[in-house]
Amino acid sequence: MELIEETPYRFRIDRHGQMRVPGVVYASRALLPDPAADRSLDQVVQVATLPGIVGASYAMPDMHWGYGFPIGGVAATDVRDGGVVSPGGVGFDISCGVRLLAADLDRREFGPVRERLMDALGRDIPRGAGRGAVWTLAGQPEMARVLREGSRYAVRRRGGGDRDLYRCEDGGAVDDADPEQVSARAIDRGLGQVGSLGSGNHFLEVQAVEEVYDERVAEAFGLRRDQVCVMIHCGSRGLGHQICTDHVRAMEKAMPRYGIQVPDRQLACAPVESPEARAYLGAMAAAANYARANRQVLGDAADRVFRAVTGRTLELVYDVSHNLAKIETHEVDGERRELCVHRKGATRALPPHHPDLPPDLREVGQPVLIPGSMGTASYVLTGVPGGGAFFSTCHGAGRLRSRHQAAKSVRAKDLRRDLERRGIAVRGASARGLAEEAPAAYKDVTEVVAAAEGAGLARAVARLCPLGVVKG
Amino acid sequence: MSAGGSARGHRALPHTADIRIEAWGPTREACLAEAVAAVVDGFADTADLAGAPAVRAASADLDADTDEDALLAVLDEVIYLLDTEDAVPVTAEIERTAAGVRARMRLVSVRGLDLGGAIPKAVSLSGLSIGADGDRWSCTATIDV
Repeated sequence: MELIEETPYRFRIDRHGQMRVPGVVYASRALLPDPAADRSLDQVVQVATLPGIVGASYAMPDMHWGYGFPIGGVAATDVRDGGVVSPGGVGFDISCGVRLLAADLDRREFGPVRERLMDALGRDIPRGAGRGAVWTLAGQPEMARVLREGSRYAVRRRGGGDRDLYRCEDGGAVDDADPEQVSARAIDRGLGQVGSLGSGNHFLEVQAVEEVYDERVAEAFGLRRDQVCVMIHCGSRGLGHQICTDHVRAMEKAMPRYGIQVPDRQLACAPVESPEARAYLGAMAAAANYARANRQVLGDAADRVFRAVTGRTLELVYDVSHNLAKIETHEVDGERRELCVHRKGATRALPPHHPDLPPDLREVGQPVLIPGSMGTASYVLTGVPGGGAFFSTCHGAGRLRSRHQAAKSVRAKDLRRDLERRGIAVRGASARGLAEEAPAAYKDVTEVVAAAEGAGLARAVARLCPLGVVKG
Repeated sequence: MSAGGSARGHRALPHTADIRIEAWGPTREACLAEAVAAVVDGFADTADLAGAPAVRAASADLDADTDEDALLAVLDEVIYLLDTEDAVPVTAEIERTAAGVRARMRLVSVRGLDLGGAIPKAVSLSGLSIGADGDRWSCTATIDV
């Protein structure tokens, strides 16, 4: 496959075979995946074959091998021109995302309370396999409220304020959720997990603002140098995974009716206006609401810990998904068109003055939250005018090595000691889980962010460094 | 993990972000049972599981029209039990039924076990395969973790 370097941060794959649009990879040469170990460039090509795709099949600087879609993939299809929605283009963990809260606490005040605070967070933040969550739902009727109303219901029932909603993407909930399209199996899996991190690369991290690149924007976001923050990375748990599983399989069965063939089964899709797509979009929206409620409840639990240990509070900076499909209007070839924008491991990055921004962010753009790998920096970016890939950017460091390779090459004991030596308290990680998430298994988040900036997808506002981590 | 030359066994294959497994056996049902063991091996220590007290025996009748359906159904069931009952199978026996397969499993609780980070959450259709070559069945699956 030929990659044509258009700029140091933008590579093109020309149309060939069944591709309907070219591929565009936003990355530096150093960040490009190694085709021998990672097939994500092939996946960019495969996504370019989807019916109704417009512009290009895009990949973000943190791209890596997924199924069907690459992780870090963005694809938009024209709703009025046979464009499809593909559950695989959203991913299993629907509305997996990041929530950033800022504490009314300075970094130098953290040291004396570090152990107590981290112990309390380690105790009160549910994590790992199976059930166990902050919020025990009162059966299916209450689950239906969560699926329909997301964070809005969580705030009413569990506490929180207006800022928890207007600083959350979609005001805390999307309105077109359809719990009827969520299977009993998905409900079963989700009932005991509202307010839990889960496992894998999910975490709650206590961080400090180490550097501010744009004072004005940082201030509007609610961030200042040396401020203590809490970053939460998690999604829709078993419920979202089951919804994706159910609807991929239903769409695969329906595809022959629409004359659709795809090069990878996980790209199963259906026209956005078909009954199968409407069913999926209704269920996906329900899972997105569940994920927002999940992060809201976890943020609230962290706030309670901060209040109890430090007497200070946490305030929401922003909450944004990086696995979602949205119906959005964009200009394509000089025409305003209704598109179904899939972002799988990619973050929406609205520029200043975008109408979907809340008033207090209108002048500065949307906060884009980019977690680094464990023990490394995280970044807060903002959207830029003319941002590429339908206003999308990266979502994290991007995995480089398999869990197996990581676990073989890193000793958990050494890693934990190294983190502690650097002043980073670790809670809740199994030895194997810790080794699998070693920073060496990931790309360098600073390089990823530099590529996103170089490619004109977003710009950096602040860098955060870790003080303590509760590992999922 | 079992040795590559034995009549039945399983192993992990490389995958950047998730878990890819291969399993094999002299019959389709043995191959499916090995696939269950491969998924469990991906996140739990076999020695820990052997020492854990059994919670209960479980039996699930799973619909499956095709061999691939059977593979998906069996692995989906492991994931479902983990999320809804905090339970993981230490042994699995699979038998063919008129409607698909029956999975008989001995379950242990995951509470208190030192699990790895790669907890299975879904089975991808990408790269899913199952089939026989002579009297040897084999399958591959990619598991989202």
